[in-house]
Amino acid sequence: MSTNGKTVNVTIDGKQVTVPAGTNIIEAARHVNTEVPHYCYHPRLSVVGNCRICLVEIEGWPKLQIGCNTNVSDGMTVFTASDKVREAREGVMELLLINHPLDCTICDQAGECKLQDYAVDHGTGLTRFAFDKQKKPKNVSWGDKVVFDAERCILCTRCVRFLDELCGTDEIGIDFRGEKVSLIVRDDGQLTSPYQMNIIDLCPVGALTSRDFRFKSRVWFMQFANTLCTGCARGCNVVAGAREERLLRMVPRFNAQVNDHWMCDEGRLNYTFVNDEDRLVAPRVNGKDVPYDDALARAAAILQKAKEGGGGAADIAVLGCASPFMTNEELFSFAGLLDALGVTERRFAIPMGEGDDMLLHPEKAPNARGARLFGFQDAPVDAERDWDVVVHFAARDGGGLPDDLNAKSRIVFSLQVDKNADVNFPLTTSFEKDGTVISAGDRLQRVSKALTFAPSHLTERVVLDRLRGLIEDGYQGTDTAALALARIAQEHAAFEGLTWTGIGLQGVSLQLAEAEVGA
Amino acid sequence: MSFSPELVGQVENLWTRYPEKKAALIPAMHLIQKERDGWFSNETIVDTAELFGVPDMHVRGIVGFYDMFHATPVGRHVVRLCKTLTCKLCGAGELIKHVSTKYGVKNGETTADGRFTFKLFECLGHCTTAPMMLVDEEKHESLDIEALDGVLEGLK
Repeated sequence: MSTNGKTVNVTIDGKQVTVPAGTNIIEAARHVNTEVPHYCYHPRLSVVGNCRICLVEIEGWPKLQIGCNTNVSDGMTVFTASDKVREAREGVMELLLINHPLDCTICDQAGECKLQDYAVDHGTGLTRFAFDKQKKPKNVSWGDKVVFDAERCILCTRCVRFLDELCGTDEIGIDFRGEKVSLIVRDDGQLTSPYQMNIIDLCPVGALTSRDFRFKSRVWFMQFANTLCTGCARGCNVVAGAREERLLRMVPRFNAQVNDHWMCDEGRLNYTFVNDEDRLVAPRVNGKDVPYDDALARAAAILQKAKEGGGGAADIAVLGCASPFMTNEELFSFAGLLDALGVTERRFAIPMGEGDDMLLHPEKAPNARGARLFGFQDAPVDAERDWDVVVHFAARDGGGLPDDLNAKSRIVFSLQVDKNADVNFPLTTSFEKDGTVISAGDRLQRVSKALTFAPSHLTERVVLDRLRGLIEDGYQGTDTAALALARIAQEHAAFEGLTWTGIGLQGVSLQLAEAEVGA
Repeated sequence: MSFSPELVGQVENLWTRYPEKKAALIPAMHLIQKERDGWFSNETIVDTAELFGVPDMHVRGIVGFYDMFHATPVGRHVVRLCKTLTCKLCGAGELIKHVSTKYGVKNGETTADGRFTFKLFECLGHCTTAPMMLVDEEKHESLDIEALDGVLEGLK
């Protein structure tokens, strides 16, 4: 869309609006909060105009026009809901539903299906088609991620265009014509793109479903949270869906600055650790489940001894090992605790993997930037040294420290039981708490709670604050992540003026380099 | 496998007549099909896509959509018998039955000796001389069983 800064004035359903020249009618209508129904049109894909549901009436034009392929011009008057338009849409809906199996009762898309929505909004509820519907293949495997149902497909070709125009793998095509027409996948019919699952979100109907999410839950029984994928440093914005405290799926959420409309399959499927049956749910001391108060007292005693011995001084060696999966608020509390103890040895390790030139980042953790900002170094731990106390936040795979590390006492936060820990606190995942992380490109973004972890558990931030309160007289932690952020904003130049609500659902860019230099 | 220089020359000539290369796909594909034994194998589809710089799935879609392109091997000749209204009224039905009994092929099938592939076609545009059929690119009109046999038996 080339605008050259020119704008045009149009009237849509009686409302005047000024939009950039070259805007199509669907986009222009969004400016006046009017949704022109559409299936095949997508703002990031080429316009094909094959679904015909976006027909609108334009004053002075003899025939209805499709909103996706008609750009507004100056002085244009558009009607998106006139009688003529309504009648045309009813016709299009009737046509689209002629061969549709109407198997909503067993269809995963039900509840978030454009065919359902528009049938209610724009259909008549009746059909004049008295013949047998076409029978086409159902439950067709397109590999281990996507399942195709040819009967439900309305041939909008969004999936074809996505893999062609944005992934460059052009794996899907259209074969035959008329009533026999169907999508086909190249060669052995298995998709290969590492971004293929985006076609499931793109599909406006239930033709493409996720093998992972299939039949797990009706969407209207789920709770959704606007949060982030924490599979790598990109920080793709997602909507995480949970039911009965189990995380069931992630779908991308639009953020023009980060991930646009998309996310990678690796990230999308990287959530099952949340539902692991063997998660550590209560604190343990010397291998036994104990109440939080007892665990906190034991940990405080270990730390108190270290503090009296002089913290990181040569006589008693204390190591603070953070993880890049921690939120800024947790890192801030951890750094505060280590400050109170006088510990200077602060480390963390970044799990590395494959990156690409789309979204995948080689750092397979969300907040390495935050860990650095709060004073932790991604440098190797001195394994030769005899450590007296190690406070360790285990990474998702349990790692982060050398296996052969010598430590007399260990205070460990982990997802699974750590047998070597003297005091073992449960670690929550990013889906079970609120907080902020610094994604690639120094973008500060929020993670939000999608489900509740074990009942009455304490988050790591609360545990750290209470430990500090036990060691440092008069120290008071904060109740919520938003309040913790407010405290960070007072102490760190990079966060100056930032608030929980100010960060919003899309995040903000930080000027980190200066702040780090200044600090 | 690359196309013959003659074919590439013809395709390049076609490109000069359209605003973009892609627009010349269908006329070019008729030439390509002729050079590649009358049908589009996977290899031919990929070669065509490469020549035009379009996704191979796009070419595959064209082969699937248009009846005059073949996605499976064909006989030495392709016989297209018109089955639309006028030809049917003038006796195409009898001819179809005859082909089936005498040559053993139904719509879309190839004779055992590989001589011809038999296809029923929608209107071929010669209603005045119905029934008619197209053998490769040559039309045969005002057919009856005798005339049809004369044509089919003459095929090499």
